[in-house]
Amino acid sequence: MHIFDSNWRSKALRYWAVPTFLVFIAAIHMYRTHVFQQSSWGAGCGFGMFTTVDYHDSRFFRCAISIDGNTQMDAFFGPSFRKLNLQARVTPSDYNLSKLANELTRAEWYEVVVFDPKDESNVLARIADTDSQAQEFLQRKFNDRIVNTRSTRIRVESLEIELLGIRFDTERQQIKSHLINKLRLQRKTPNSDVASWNKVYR
Amino acid sequence: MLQAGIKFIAKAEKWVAEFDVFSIIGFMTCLVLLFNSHGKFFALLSIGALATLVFAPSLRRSPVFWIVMVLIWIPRLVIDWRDNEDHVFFGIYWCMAIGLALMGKDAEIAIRFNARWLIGLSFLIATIWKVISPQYYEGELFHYKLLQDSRFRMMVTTKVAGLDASDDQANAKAIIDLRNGSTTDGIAQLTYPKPVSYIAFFMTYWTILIEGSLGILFLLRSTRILSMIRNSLLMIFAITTYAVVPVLGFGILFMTMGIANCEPHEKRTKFCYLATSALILVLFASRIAIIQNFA
Repeated sequence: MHIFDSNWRSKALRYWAVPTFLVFIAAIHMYRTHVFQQSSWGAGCGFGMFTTVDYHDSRFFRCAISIDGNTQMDAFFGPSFRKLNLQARVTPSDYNLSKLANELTRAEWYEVVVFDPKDESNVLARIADTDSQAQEFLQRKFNDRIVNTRSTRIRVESLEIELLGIRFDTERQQIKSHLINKLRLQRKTPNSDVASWNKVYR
Repeated sequence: MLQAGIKFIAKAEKWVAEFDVFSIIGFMTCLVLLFNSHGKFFALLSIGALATLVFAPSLRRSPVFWIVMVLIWIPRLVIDWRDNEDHVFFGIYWCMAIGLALMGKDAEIAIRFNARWLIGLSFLIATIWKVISPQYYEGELFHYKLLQDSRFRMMVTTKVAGLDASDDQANAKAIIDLRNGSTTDGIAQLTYPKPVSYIAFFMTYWTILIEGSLGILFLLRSTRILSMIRNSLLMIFAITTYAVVPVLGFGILFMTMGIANCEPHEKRTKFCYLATSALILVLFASRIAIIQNFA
């Protein structure tokens, strides 16, 4: 089936279209990586794999929640937010971070209090959890101790989320984290059932 | 036994030489799409495509077949672009190139041109990324990969660089503590022997050298000697890279493009590319077996 005859236009399309498109997309990816800190790996076709230590897979979030507007607890979230999590790690814009943070404020959060089984008043840790993601952290932190936990449903008054990247210091044999973007959501009217939020970016 | 082996190879070489190039690259491309599928629908689509080409030989030179494959993949690549790696996109670019090549009478010449330019450009662009990234040329990337990526740790860091199990575990814990906020200073202190650094820097500059060379060599106009050098280098790259980092979607794709780029007289080269593809698959399978035995 020969749709095109051999004139120069058809030859240009059949020979050059795909290589030109490849270069065009790769150039866009390169631009977005350098200007918007988009991940150099995957997430497109830029051929930037195995180029940088800082990329979407090595980026990670730290989240903290407050139920009274003051005292913060480390917060853990997981698979339910996979798509938004990936979006924000690939392109760490204010918009993507905001989308993730807004979704987190709509989730069901539980305060997990870890205490000594012999003495309930001896609180060993207090963290916020949704998606049961805190279990792994707690298992690692207390793997040589017998502890009890108590979970209570909580309402978020403020949420702070940070996206961090890493660099490798070859001289000191260290991996160092650095802040890429940060957002804090504070409920506009404390203790109100109406959920509207003030946003403060990095 | 040696004589029998030589006879078998000679027969296989002849068979490959007589087989239509679009049949070979068609089968191999469907295999690449299967490796890139990451899901039931696209896996079944790739298997169905392969079966179609096997049982309907007339479709092996049909541009419509390849254009339809591209159109089915496009929504996934546009909507879920963040979830798809470079080799997935590259595989679809290649399908498009096959489809466009088959639309004219000079299909063999067109696909040879596309194969050469896609190989050359991908390596050249990858080299440019590395050369302009301090995180790469200062050695950070391969230090990180050798210590954190299980594919490197299993094949290189523990066996060759001598990283012992206790240091490996301590490093893993340090990285986990960094990620979950157990460190106050945002630093994970690692421990590893000096050979890790030597290997990291060697891999850093070897990769720039081989990828840069492939990029330049494939973009130069073909001569017999140039063709022999760059084909050999591409096969060496494929074996040494994909033995450690088994990204079959890339490895087999480069071999497919290598076959497509062969001139009519390069029958042995075509066979060597097929043999290298088989070797990559065997290395991958034996790696799985090793992992399962040690798990």
